Amino acid sequence: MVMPFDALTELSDDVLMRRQAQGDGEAARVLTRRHAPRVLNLAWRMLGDRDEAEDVTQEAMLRLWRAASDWQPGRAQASTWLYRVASNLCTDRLRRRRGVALDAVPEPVDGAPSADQRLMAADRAAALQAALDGLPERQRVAVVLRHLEGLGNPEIAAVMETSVEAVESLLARGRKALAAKLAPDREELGLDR
Amino acid sequence: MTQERDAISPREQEALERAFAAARDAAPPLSAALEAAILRDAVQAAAPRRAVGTPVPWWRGLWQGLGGWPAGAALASAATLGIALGYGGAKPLAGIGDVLLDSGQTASAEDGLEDALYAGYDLALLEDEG
Repeated sequence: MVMPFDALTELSDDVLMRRQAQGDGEAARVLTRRHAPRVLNLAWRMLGDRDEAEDVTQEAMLRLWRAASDWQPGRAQASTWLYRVASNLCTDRLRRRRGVALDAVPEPVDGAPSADQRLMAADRAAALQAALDGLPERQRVAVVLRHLEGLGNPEIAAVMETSVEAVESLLARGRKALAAKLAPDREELGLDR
Repeated sequence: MTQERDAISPREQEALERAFAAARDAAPPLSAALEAAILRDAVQAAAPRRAVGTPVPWWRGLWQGLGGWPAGAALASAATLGIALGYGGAKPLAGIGDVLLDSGQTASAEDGLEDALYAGYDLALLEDEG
């Protein structure tokens, strides 16, 4: 039975996955709009490159579609599953990139004072991205999921297949490293006020 | 212990929170092109399971090509009727044909059939009267 898009948005991921496996295009659309933006954001923060982040997002969603026929309700959350796949795909890309493309790492912002709040916010976001790019991969995943995606530590632990204590440690080290990287530009970026 | 060593000052924490907030606001939107590509993948990922998920044996393909069960049922019915006519139903038809030929009439088939049906009745009446 074909259901309108609005009605499908009320359904759980498990139900939508079953419908997708049966070829329900509207279920796929709901799943895409529910999860793909968050996967894209994670990939963008991990990779610092929009095109690569889109490639990762498409690949992660394709793997979700392929898993639909064997999806077991209640066993895993689609969001957790997708974050795990996406972070692994990003890690693979970063490892391939390592040592080859140092020039591709975005330069920190030059510190020129911004005239209005929007430019200031853009500068702050760019500075944070540059700082994130310098973090070890697992710290980066943990920080992005916690502070940009708003996940709790237990869910991050599920995504990263590790313990909550390990996540707390990764976050603490990640925050310290970020604070140190941002420190020289903190005044100019208006981060102290 | 590790977290105490890695702790940051409240001022650093506030600065980080401002940077995180700016980054959250700058999250990239999902483009229409990317959404369309993802949905194309969804269709393709679901379709093979229905179309070529399991190889179909050659005889099943032939069977389906001939019309499947409906065609098989019709063929069996026709064959049964043919056998029944061959053994049981052919005699009355032949009798009707004989009557038509013997009558020497060139009337319609309906007339011949009517004559054939009443021919036996007429003979019985003659025998009773005789």
